[in-house]
Amino acid sequence: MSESVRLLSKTGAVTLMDAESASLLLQIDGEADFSAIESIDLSVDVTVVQFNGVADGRGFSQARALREAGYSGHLYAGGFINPDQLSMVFQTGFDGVLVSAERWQDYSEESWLSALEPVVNLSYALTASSQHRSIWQARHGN
Amino acid sequence: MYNYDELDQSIVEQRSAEFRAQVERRLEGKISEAEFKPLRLMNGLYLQLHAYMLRVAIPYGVLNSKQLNKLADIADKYDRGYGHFTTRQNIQYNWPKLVETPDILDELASVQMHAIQTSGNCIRNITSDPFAGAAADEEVDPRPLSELLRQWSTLHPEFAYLPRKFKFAITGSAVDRAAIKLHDIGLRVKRGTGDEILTDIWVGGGQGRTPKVAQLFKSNVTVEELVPYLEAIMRVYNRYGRRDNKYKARIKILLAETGLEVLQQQVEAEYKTINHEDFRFVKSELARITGYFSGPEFKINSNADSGSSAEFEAWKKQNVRPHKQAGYAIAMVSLKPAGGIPGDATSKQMRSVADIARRYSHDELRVTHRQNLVLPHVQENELYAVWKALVEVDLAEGNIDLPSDIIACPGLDYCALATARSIPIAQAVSAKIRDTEKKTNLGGVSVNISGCINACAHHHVANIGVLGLNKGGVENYQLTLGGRNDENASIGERVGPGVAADEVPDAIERIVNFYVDVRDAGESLPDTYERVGKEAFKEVVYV
Repeated sequence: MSESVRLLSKTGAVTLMDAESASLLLQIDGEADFSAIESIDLSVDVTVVQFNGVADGRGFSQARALREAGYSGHLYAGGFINPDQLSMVFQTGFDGVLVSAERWQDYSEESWLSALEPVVNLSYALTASSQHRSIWQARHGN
Repeated sequence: MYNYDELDQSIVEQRSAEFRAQVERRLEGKISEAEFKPLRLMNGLYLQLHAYMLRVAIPYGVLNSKQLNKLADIADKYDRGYGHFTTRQNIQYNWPKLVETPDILDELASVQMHAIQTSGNCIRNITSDPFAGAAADEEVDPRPLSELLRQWSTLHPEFAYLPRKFKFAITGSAVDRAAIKLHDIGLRVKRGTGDEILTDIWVGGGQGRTPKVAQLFKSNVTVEELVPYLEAIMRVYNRYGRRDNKYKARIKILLAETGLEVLQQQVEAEYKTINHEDFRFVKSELARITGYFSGPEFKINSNADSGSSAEFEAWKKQNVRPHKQAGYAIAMVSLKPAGGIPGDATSKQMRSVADIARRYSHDELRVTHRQNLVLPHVQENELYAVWKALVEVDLAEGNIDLPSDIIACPGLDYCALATARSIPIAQAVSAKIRDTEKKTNLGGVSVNISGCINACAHHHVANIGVLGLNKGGVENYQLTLGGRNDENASIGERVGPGVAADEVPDAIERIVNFYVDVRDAGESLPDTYERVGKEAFKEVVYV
């Protein structure tokens, strides 16, 4: 089980897969030039954007850029994501996070699962998260 | 001024609750300090030399009396009875306890304030002209756009983990009192045809160890274009900004390394890909916000106590500025009393100024980036009453924009990054220069003192800049001359080797005296410096 990777999605479902299967999903390295996004095959079913450090937020922009380019497949964040970033993950267009066994352990199951219910469920602008209510839309939308 | 609705209130309260849970996890040992650090920083909580420091946002420098009274209450209840106003229109508390910081945030939320994004590698507090809505020379009131961008940047999910911090400043006047060209993004709002509002975007200004003046990036951006265009700039910065070296991570470095034209092309390309439908509510939101800034209703009270005295007239001459409304004036409150700490105010002083604002300034206050306060809407015939009330709490110093109106960072007395003290140097310079500035017209001569190369006191853009360093365990102060932070912003030039701490006041006095001797009529210190040259000034620094 220590080799397992967990797939955490908005519904709270945790799917286990072995590390080898998870690695086959990897498509975009956060370190890669953004031309990787421009050249990506938008028809692939699953894409994983790797975060290469806890302070490296490039993946959030990559996710939004992918969605704006029309990507409608499953989009997951991998690598250095922590529970306090789940809100940003879902708001920028990801469907979930691939969490390594080590990171799952580091933050505890309770932290990961409780972070699926964001304390802050408002945003000003429109975002991709169904868990968030846009204040600007509430004020001006029909 | 802007007033929260239920949704604004909810998001601030939710953020406070989120931070409370994060603090609890830290106190229970569930997360390490390393994990907690980015979380606390995004809420303005630093760990300094002696204690935590909490930085509270004062969005675009605007306060009402209720808010300032709350800041005074927090100073008494959770700190040591004072607060420190900063160059980015914020206030800092130097002695809060970690366990009490969530309570402080709740208290702030109760008066529509917060500490969101006052630190961290995210979009920081939006700053603006402290005379906004009052200045006689204002073209467009920058506060509605400032509030719109406060909302847009608040908890923006894409830009919470940028390569480095990111600062916006906005002005609506040709005379720049917000130092927009020294920010990552500076916005100059202006009038188009009819009611149309247009914005010029300046990019890549900043200070620190590589000071840069911003470059004009795009002119005449419409309201509809502005937010998606800013998103495009931020996204390009998030993509390409350097992450290998924190000292080269600001957008000013990206601009310098990429070149203006290429960066503009990258942003234009990104702008085209952004889904503009996502921003369809921006224009109506800006119109809604603008409605909050139509007031106040100016009335003249003819029964005011319009007395006079020599001291009052001296204060008025130095601290009062023209207002757009006939019969009104902008009154500035100096937080630079003789021997005081620049930018500090006691809780008693805060309450008094709050009371003065409520009685005489339509309940409005501003914080300036020179660490002073402003009463933006005072009837001219009530200025005397305002002055008398300020005298009562030792806040009637008439030295705005004089050399003793020094910007100083906390320096080695508080800051973990500092390499030298700045507060005692400011106190010594201020004491030394007061007699000269009372006898001679030194209006507009700025002195800024930073305690390290991070330049929090903006020494690079002072007419006379002082940078405290540590050379072999001894404090050493470099002097720069000729900098300015207005619409003609420029970086000062280092005049020569550093001097010892006790030599700084004399050196500055000699610089000022030399300037007075050689200046042409109406010539500013930077202009004199440019005309007579570095060598001439160098001779008076190193006697």
